[in-house]
Amino acid sequence: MFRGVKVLNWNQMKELPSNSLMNSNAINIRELTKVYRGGVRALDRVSIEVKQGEIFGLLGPNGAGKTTLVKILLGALSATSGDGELYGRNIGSAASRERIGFLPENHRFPSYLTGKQLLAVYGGMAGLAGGTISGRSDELLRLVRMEQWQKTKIRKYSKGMMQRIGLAQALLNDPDLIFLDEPTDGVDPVGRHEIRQILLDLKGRGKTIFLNSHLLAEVESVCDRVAVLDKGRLLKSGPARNLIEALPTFRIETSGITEEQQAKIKEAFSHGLYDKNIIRISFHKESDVNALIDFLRGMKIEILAVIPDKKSLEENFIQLIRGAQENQGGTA
Amino acid sequence: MNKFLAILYDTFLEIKSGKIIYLYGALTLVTFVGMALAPQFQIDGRDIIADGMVPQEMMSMAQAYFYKSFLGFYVLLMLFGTAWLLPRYLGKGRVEIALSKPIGRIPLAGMKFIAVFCIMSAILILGTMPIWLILSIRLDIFSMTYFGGLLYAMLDFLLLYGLIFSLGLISRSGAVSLIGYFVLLVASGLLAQRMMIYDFLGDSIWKTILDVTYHILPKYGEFGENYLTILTDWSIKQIYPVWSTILITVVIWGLAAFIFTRRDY
Repeated sequence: MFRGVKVLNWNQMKELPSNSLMNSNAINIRELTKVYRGGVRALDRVSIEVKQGEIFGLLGPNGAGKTTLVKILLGALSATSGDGELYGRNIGSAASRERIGFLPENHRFPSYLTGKQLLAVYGGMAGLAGGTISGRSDELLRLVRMEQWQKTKIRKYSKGMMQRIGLAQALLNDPDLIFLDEPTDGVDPVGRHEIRQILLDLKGRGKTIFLNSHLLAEVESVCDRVAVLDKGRLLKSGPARNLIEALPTFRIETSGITEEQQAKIKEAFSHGLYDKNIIRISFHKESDVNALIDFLRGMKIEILAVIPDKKSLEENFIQLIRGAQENQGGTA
Repeated sequence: MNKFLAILYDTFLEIKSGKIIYLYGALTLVTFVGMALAPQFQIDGRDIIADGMVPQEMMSMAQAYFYKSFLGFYVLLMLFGTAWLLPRYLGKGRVEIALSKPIGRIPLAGMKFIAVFCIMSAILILGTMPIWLILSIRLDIFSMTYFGGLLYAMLDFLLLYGLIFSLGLISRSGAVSLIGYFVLLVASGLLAQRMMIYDFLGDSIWKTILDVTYHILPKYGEFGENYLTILTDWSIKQIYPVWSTILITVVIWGLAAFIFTRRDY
């Protein structure tokens, strides 16, 4: 019945080009919950799918549960409930970590090692042979521009250099899935640009990247899809552009608004921000601003300027988090 | 194999970077130089060794006592030098990277333990053999029982470090591990002498409690008593403390490894 179908073992599958496995997800997690001792709920039924070959960004304020999620995926933490797979292998198993690279946030690489020794140690722990490590190390040290520091002890490295050598460490075993927790933290603007370029190059080679970052601009510039976590709950997930897309916003400058008039405007357009003669307000469609202009003119208010004012990513992100917190407060 | 070699290499570099390595070297060097430069003992102008004024057995016994003390002290220094290795390895920011590698937690702990043991055993050999050599030359007695003592010291370190490693795996603290070791060392010494207070206890429950406690704890005190007999005539004075300490250490190690597999990092 299955004549002619070749069954591949794991090692043979690893030899296949990355795009041979494009139909499956790199990460599947279902209803993942983590409750720490003391009752702190760090993750609350989080389900995420990350497709192979995409850059996936995880956003959220401090304490949102981002690092907890990554640690569970890597087996450093156990989930209270829920399950998931990395490339079809159960999270937490040693086999699930064969195809991954990881750069943690606040890493403390052994200070007694040099950059080159660090790569030798972690390359070996990833199962690479000496010859492979040597070749890959040279290549990666060039990529992250650390060749001249390779024989220097890590204790002498700056924060940015630590991130660079950490990135090289994460890429040493040529992983298919790379977890990066704040990879550009402490890196100068030029270095940040270079790291972003490296991420895009890796994506071009079919690698999957899971990026934890506070830097919204960074997420927007490299991520295909984004999830937003807050207090352990998944608020939103989807394409980066849709998720943090700005609504059309206007700054309307007027003169001589009385308190009575302002009260009437607030009643009609309650979602605006009012500061004396300045109104800042968002609409779902740009043309909807005409309704406000007509309303103001109907009250004989002089309009000095109508200025399109696109909200920043940060403002949208904050609005999303605040909205979630208000909803939570309302339901509590 | 690559994974073990990587952990061995890392452990070697960490031990090499520590200041205590200089203490091992200094201890060996000072002892070696002291023995090399020590004057011959003479009575009425006659060399007490060369002229056979002291019986061979007495010289061998003195040598055995010296090796026992020297090996024991070296093992103690080795414990101080290694107690912090595992807690540092399990430190925040470092353990996550180790755990993200495709190695199970028990193999990871096992490889780290074996790596420390291999390196420290090499240090023990390199640190004590020159002393054996110079003492043998000076006394003209090449005592082969030293090698028995050396192997026994390696077993002693294996068991003691097994305890310290297990306590480090659970507590993630080098200080707690060493305190735990000293508490057990004192407790085992006292329990070995429990017969002395049996008369005062009569048939009370305390006698049973002391007996049970003695049997379930490692017997480091009695374990150390075998050094002298091995170094004098290759014999083991008491075998029960040896095998029971090995067994109990294996159980403690297994329990610690089990806790390690369940722990969040």
